[in-house]
Amino acid sequence: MPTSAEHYPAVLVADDDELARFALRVALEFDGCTVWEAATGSEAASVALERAVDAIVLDANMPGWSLEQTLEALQASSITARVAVVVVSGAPVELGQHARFVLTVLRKPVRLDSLRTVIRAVAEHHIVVRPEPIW
Amino acid sequence: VQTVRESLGGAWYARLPGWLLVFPAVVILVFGQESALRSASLLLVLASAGLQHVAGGVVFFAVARLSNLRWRVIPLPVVIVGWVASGVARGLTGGSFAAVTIGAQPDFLYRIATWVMVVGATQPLITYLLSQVDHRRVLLGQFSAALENLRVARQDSRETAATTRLRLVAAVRDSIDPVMWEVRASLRSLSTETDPAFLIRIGNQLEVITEDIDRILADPRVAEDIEPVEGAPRAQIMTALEFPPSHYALSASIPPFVVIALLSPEAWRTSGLVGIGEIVVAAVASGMVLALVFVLQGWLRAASEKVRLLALRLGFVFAGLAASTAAFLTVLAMGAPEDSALLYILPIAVAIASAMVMGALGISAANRNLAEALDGIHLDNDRLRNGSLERDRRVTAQVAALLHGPVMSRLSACVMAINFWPETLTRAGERSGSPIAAKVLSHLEAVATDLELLSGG
Repeated sequence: MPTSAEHYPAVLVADDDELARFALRVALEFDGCTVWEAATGSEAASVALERAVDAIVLDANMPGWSLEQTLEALQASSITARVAVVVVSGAPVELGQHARFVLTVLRKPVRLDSLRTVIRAVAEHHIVVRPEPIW
Repeated sequence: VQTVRESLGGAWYARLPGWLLVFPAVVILVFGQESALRSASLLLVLASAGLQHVAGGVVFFAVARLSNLRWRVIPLPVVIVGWVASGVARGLTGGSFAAVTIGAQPDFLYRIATWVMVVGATQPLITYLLSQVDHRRVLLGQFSAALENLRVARQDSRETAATTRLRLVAAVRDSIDPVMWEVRASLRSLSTETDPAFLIRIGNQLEVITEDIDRILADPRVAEDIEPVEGAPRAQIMTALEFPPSHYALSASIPPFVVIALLSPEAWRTSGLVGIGEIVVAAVASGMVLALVFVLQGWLRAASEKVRLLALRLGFVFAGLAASTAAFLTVLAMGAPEDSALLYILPIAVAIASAMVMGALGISAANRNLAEALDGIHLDNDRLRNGSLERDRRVTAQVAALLHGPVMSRLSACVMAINFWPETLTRAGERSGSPIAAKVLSHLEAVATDLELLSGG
């Protein structure tokens, strides 16, 4: 990809699995994105705040904070509250009140074309918020 | 439970086996009727009986077929119309045949009245009996299937949560181990020059593994699903005819009325009031013997099934003989009989009527008991199944949580690494896949270890 002529999004990949982070990083960097990594929910919240990322690819099942806690922390700051959050999960997730905050849910293992479509939407500001998880 | 209306107006209202089954009895009755006509030979009697039966059958089946166009269970008034119409057809055919072949008076009125009485007295019994026998075959088949399901459900309910967990993990391992082994072997032999197509194949194999795990967790009980009871094969006819006698009072009192309806028209024609008296006395005598037979059955409750059955059969024979003897004595007392054929037909009529009445009442009662027992088994089955399903849901959720944690996450990471890799390599113009292969291999080793730990291995 590049996603747009003017803007290459900065993406935070939050996953406790090193290989998953590596795979996502390779693919996103190849497409021109700047990629940051986090291994826990709390780390994701702090990196997102520090690096002012455009999107977070967030694993739903990480040690430490639950998905709900991580989403709450992200919503708590005005900087991270506007970030496009893409939840990835191997099992169905219940987003509850955070549904509107989540751009979409991708099923693990993530497909490259799905990831690209979402990141391209973020880059071009053509984000369509889907309150219902895609399953 | 099948209602009387369903039995009489249902599938057995007009069936070829039922129609054929009553032909021997029709021959006996026609023999009784035509024996008054001295010139009627046995061949003519058989031909007349056959023609009458065919004529009655044609009318009867036509009524049934037309009625079935509108109703699945034919209403009772229409059922009766069919029976009466077939009686009329038999009477008209019998009279015409007698007139044409031996030049006898057709006696249409007498013949029609006789057949309408005969059909009215026997057809409800026969239809009800055949329908109940058939229903019993279905119920017995369902009962066997339900018992087998109950056995499986009981066995299943004894499984502990730990066993269920092991079974699930074993199912997962059975499904994914061969693929895992193959993928790991491929990755170990990976050279530095990597063909993207080769990687895509490995990625697809790993993706299938994750789908297999999802499938097993979504439907963990496919192998143990119970067989539907409704589709169970019917029991053998002889099995269906094994039933405990019941309704002794009714079983003793109905056959005499059937005998009177069957034989009094012919007795009236040949001997007038004496004939009627003869039949009534015979029927009452048979009824009294039948009552004694059923009292004896009560006394023999503790005896073996064979002894009770033997006593019952002997009882029917004695009831028939009693009827014949009573008729003979009555005739002697009131005057010489013009036709002795009735004396031979009486025991047969009594035995057939007794067996039919006892069968219809006994099988009907046995079916009610069987249906109640079947309901009880269904309830037990449902209770055990629900308990097992609840346990399985609970354990499956636990196993799913365990698998989606370390196992599925690692597998997903492997799939992503492998799937993203060929494209990025190709675009970057690189050909070396060894570093990622080593990472993926290490992950897959960890998955194998996790699965072994989960299965307690």
